[in-house]
Amino acid sequence: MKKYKNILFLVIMQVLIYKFVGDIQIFLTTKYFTINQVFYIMISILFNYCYLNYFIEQYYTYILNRNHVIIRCGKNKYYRIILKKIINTTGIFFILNLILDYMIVKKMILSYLIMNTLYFLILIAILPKKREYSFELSISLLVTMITKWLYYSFIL
Amino acid sequence: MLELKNISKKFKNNLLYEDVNLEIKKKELIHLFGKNGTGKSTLFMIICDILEPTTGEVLKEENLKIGAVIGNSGFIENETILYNLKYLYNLKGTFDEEKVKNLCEMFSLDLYNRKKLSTYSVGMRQKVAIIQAIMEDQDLILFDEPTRGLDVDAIEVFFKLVKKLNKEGKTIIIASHDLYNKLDYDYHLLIENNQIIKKRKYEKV
Repeated sequence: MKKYKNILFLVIMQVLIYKFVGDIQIFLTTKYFTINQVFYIMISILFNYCYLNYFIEQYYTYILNRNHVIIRCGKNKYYRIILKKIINTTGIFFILNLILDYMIVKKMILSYLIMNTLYFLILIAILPKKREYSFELSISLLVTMITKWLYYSFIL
Repeated sequence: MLELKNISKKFKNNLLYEDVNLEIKKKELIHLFGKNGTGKSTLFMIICDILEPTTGEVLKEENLKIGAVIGNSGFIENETILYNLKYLYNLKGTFDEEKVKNLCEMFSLDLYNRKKLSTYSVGMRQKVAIIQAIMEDQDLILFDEPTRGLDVDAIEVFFKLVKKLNKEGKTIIIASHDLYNKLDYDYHLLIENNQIIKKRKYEKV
């Protein structure tokens, strides 16, 4: 149920923001990168917050109860469970964004989407796997925004 | 029911166990102790297959069900107690709601509380961890510092529960610094000098 609520929220948010921004290029760059204007940075933070929240809720949190699952099913089944969650989450995220971009702005920039998906995967993979670090969403959002800002400012 | 054969465990340059042999039989109530960092939690993790020994093997009875509370238990933080316990129970069986509800009531927890587990205190999380370790009728139960964060009433409930489970034939190992005289243990296991030594009586370390 939570998964569908998250997806619905992502869809509504994007439609509203595109209606508000009204420009295809600005919409796509704020969605996938941060640009140097406070307003767009805020929108970008909102986008990234929602995506990271989705990733964290769908599979990162399941990594935290690793020990309990391994005790019951063994390591192999645990890895299968997590792999399935990663593939499902990434697949839904990817397809959803492809469809949304096409429906909202009639344009798909695959390289943006692939880079963003890979970035989220790497970030969640390197997040600490202990329950003691309970600020994973804030940490990952901060790292995301800084990295994307650097990328936008110096590379793109 | 469980046998450790020539187990050694090394983390980089830190040797924890060297050629350890140990046999654990059914219905035993065992106290495990040793100085900090001697490897009490590591031993539990080896028994549960979370960690692999550097050398040696762990022989287990067929279909042995293990329950464990090890360290700071991790759960699906943005979900409720009910979701977490149901998720774990359903990995290997069918959720027995009535039984889990009774266990929660014993520890003054509300199974149907809609709060996320991340908002729970250390003591409440520990109660949930204890419940998940015993809810599926596990044969071998490992408790690592089980009373951490528990209030006085919950500690009493825990002792009663351990006695009851042991009477029912469960094997229980409790790793603790301060629970050495609280239960009627069959024997104590001391971890010292990379070895596990069986003791009839507790000795200060």
